[in-house]
Amino acid sequence: MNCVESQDLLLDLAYGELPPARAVEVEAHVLGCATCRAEMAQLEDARKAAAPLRELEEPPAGFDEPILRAARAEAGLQADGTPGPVVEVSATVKPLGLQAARLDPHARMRGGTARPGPRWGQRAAVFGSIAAAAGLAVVVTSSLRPKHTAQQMAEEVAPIQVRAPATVPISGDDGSLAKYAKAVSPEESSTKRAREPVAPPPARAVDAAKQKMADAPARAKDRTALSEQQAPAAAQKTAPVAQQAPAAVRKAPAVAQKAPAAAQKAPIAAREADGLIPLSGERFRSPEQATERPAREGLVREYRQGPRPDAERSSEESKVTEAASPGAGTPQVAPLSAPAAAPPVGGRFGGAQPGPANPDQLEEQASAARRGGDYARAAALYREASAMRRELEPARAAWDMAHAVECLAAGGQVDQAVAARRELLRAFPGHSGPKAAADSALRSVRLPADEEKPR
Amino acid sequence: MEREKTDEELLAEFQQGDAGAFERLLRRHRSPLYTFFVRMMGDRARAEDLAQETFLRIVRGSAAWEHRARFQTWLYTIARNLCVDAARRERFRRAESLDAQDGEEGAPLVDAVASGGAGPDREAHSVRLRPILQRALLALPAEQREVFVLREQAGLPFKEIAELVGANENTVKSRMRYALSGLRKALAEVGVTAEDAEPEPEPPPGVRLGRA
Repeated sequence: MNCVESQDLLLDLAYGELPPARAVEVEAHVLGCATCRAEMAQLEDARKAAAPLRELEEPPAGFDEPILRAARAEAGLQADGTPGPVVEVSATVKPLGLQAARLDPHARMRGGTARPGPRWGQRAAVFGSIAAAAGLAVVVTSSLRPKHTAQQMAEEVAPIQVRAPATVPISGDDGSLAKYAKAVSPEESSTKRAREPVAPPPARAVDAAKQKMADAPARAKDRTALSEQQAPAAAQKTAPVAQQAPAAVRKAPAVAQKAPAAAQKAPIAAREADGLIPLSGERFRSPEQATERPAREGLVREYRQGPRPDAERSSEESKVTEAASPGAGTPQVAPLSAPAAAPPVGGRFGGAQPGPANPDQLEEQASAARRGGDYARAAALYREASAMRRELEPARAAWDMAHAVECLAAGGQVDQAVAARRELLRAFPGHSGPKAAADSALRSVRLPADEEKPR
Repeated sequence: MEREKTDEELLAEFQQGDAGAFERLLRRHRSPLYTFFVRMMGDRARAEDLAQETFLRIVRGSAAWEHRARFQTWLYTIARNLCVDAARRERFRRAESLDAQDGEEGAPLVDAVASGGAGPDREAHSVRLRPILQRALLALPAEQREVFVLREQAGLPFKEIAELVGANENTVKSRMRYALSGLRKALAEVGVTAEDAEPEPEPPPGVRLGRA
């Protein structure tokens, strides 16, 4: 070992960061080398001199309280027994929602980053679920036994699906379809699906189904017919709701026509989608629902996963979808299934993942950029992820946006941070968690202007 | 005896809804983090605010936390970012640089002295020296100071510090060398030597490193 090498490592030696063998080597050199010995002595002197700075200081009394309060609130959100993923997803999915929660109350956690929606949403969802389930789905649910593996869950989902129709909103979902279609090419997604056929973990299963749902509403009529055979009494009550759907169907005729065909070609996707859709249909058949209108509207809005203007955009975007997937037939479904199936492959589990723009991956890159201090890039990635999630996973999209605000604020781009916060409030009204996070990120940044620091 | 849970395990439990797990995390990191801010800012009130804010961000960000990321790195990344923000605001507020060592900077340091507990000579000794050291530390450029505090007080390895501050490891070590030599010179100027700072060769038992 020469002096140059050794001097590079003196600090590591002083702080015990060298592997033992290497440490012995460096020490041996230092002992025999006056220059390095002097250098090492200086380092050690300085460290000794600075020792008092290492002593810990205790924060004042009362320090913990606000933090613990926040922690309890956060834990309450996550663990108060409300179904995690499903609720957030759309507050919709009735018996399946309950079923999923029973199967795996922490599915969300295992899945990763999905966040619960606002509490009122959960309550409304649970109430709606119970009401709807009580009304009609007794048969359906009683055929389900809770089991704890993803595979079983996926299998159990299948039978429910076919039973009842989707009577749920249609319009906004096409937008997401188009987005994902742009993100993942059809070939890519179909190979991905082939590789990863049946059983995403529960949280993902729900996600997957949710995403599949995007194209399913277009098949509402189809499905309604089915349910009429299987549940005649229910069918009558479905009718009014089914009438709500056609308006949107008309706006996206291409999807409406192609979707059934696509469903046949992609049985898995179709079955998963069906699993959710029929159940949400049941909601409308339950007599209790008649009196639960406000809650229901809330649900429908959440279910829609996007603001109303999407209805106008849908036909346009369905064209985009077609353009992005010239293969005809399957493309309508394929792009959808890919993002749903992708996360277990890569994303936070760290596997390699093809395809440039998967929101999980974007979030991961953003988080890495953020850790690395590259806030501008982190913010841009979070925004991109937010845009992709916006239709299907508004809660996560809102958090992505909040992270973008935080990053912009941390990077000193105050104006942009303020603008991003405004966008967050506009695009995701009612998402209080992300709003609070954004506010807090900006609270500190704005301080110099108004000087109103607490305490 | 049962093995002490890692930070990451505790945070995972918190993600599952166990608020108690977070409380343990907080207990483990509150003093080191608070001290980090005291050293960086030289001001206890602001240190308290910023340390609280850091933990609140942890709470809010916990759902999105990834199990493979090291908790401590995450904690100090947030903390360090808050310092950077605070320094920026500071510059904004009074056109002087953070490094200014005269004037009002003295006040909080006096406060820092007063807080040291009574105890054996050695402790009293370090209590006497700490404000001098703190002032010397505040006189260092911010990028040297943060590396110094993250290594000496928070106990993060150079590699993680590099990741955290977004510089390469050699740059970080070079900042560390400058920081140590800057401190040594500053102390020499006021007539303090290593022996004054630490009368015994071994670190006093009262000295707890930021990390086990």
